[in-house]
Amino acid sequence: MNTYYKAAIRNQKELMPGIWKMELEAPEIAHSARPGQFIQMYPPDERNLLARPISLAAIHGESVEVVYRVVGKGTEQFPRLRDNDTVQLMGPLGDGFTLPEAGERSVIIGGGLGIPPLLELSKRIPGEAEVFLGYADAPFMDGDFRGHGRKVHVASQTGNGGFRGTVLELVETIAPFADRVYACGPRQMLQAVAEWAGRQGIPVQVSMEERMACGIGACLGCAVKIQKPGEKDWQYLRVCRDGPVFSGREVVWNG
Amino acid sequence: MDDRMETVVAGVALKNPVITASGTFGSGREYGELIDLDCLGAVTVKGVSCEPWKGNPIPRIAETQSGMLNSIGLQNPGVEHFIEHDLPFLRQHDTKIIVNICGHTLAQYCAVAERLADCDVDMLELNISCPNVEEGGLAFGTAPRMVERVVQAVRHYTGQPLAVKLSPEVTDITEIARAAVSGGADALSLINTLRGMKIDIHRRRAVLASRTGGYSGPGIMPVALRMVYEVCKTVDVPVIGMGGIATFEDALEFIMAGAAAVAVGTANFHNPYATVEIIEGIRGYLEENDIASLDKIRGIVD
Ligand SMILES: Cc1cc2nc3c(=O)[nH]c(=O)nc-3n(C[C@H](O)[C@H](O)[C@H](O)COP(=O)(O)OP(=O)(O)OC[C@H]3O[C@@H](n4cnc5c(N)ncnc54)[C@H](O)[C@@H]3O)c2cc1C
Ligand SMILES: Cc1cc2nc3c(=O)[nH]c(=O)nc-3n(C[C@H](O)[C@H](O)[C@H](O)COP(=O)(O)O)c2cc1C
Ligand code: FES
Repeated sequence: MNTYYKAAIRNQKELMPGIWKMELEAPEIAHSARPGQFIQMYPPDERNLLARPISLAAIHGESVEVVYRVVGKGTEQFPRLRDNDTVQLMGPLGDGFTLPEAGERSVIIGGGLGIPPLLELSKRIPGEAEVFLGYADAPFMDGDFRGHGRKVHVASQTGNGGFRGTVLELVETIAPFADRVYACGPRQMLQAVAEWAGRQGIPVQVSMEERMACGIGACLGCAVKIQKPGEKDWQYLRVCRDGPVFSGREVVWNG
Repeated sequence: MDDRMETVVAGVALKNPVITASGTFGSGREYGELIDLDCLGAVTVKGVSCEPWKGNPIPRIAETQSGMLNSIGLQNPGVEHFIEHDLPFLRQHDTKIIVNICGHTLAQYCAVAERLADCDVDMLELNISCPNVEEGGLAFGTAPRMVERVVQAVRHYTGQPLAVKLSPEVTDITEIARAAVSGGADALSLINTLRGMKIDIHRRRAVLASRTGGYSGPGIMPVALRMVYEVCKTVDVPVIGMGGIATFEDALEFIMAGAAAVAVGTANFHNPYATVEIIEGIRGYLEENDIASLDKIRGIVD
């Protein structure tokens, strides 16, 4: 159930230059959240009216973890928060990933800041799952996926940490067998993954991003073009409410 | 019910003067998961057109200094969907329902009003900021003669209380207000958004796909307040004041400028409890200052 409240911050630390991890004491969110859901984080400076949507990277008993990149005016305020400071939150929001059926094999593909939102999913998938992570340069959080026993493959633009190239090139090289594909990352990557999965006839769930105002489905700000099977035309659905996870086959990628 | 807070707008008795602004609150369902809709004076729903409208391309939202830009493009599933799905939901709640209606032609406005005429809604709010496709896309709300015509036309199709929502994108708001009243408006609501723009200097392009969009939030409040003040001095119909209201102090400024009621829009995004806090704040102010009814302070600024 959606809640709006101030949560205390625990253990904020910089994972990589400009990429931060923060634990939030948020029992209400932790109790009901599912992998793939997100929260709205309100920048402490009240002049920034709109909250910043950030995915849940990990869900513990009484707390949740987020990993965020400092991008602009809102996210640059978060690293200044110290332990025991509070931050205004709303969540959990959106519909998360649908877990695989028993016996199905999953492939998880993440790019950049699309990697943290896949961590809790990877932990909760009961069966076999192979993880492919793509970075611009040095890898981060790959150890967290290995930590719960997943086989992890790393690609980066610089070759730092293994394969040099895009994460999809790595996937195509290894050609893993999959009944299900889960992906989160930049739009271009998601499109390429959706097309790759489409060619093999594998169902693919992608987690999308769009600029948000309300975060709960009331303003129609965060539209994404979706064409449902059997429908003759596309429609705009809401990333915050109908997503952020959509079937990669139903997203209208071009246009 | 608290008599001090009661407010009558065009014959509709609101339990308090706080309304939600169209387009910021959907049909109440989502915010209803956080706040008690029964405490609101009224809910104004997202603009409804006769046929479904797809809306504008993305990105549709940009944050700015003291506010935000939107170019939703009045996306809505059409009046039939509204009647079937949203109206029954809202009716379960003890609040008044104001239906914001939009169109691209006179005939489209009339069709929505006619379809809603027998429905259980409390008031229509005519959004005349839409482009008139028969007049080269010029907004209906910008020329007094066009305003009078569209209000008259819609008036003909409905016996329900009719509010007309004015665009601030005009030279003289009082002239437009008079035109709406002479066309048959029972109430006026103002202001709609101001057109604005934001450019991403790193990508060297406009943030919004439609380049420009409607500016709302605290930054527009002084302009909105001035317009409400001028209109209240000019016409006799009740005015629903809006534009940047985020606190009960803001709301009281509008009431002292002459507004019968106020609407809260963008503030909901910053704080989903904004409406509830504004209602409590106004009530507290009246009690503390021993003011027996809102009429005692309404329009008190000369
Ligand atoms: C469902 C969802 C989950 C997300 N999860 C994460 C995450 O786990 N970690 C992470 O680092 N980032 C995540 N993002 C992206 C993150 O929301 C943006 O990087 C952030 O909003 C940028 O804010 P800013 O103030 O730093 O940037 P500014 O450019 O100053 O922001 C201006 C406005 O644009 C919006 N905006 C800018 N970029 C984006 C974007 N990519 N997506 C949506 N809105 C944007 C901001 O929210 C704000 O309203 C997620 C986005 C969505 C939609
Ligand atoms: C996202 C968004 C959508 C809106 N949609 C509508 C609409 O459908 N019809 C309408 O008359 N006004 C619409 N408005 C205008 C608001 O109802 C209101 O007039 C304006 O935002 C000023 O008030 P505020 O500063 O409190 O938001 C919209 C505003 C926003 C921010
Ligand atoms: S952000 Fe308002 S509908 Fe998604």
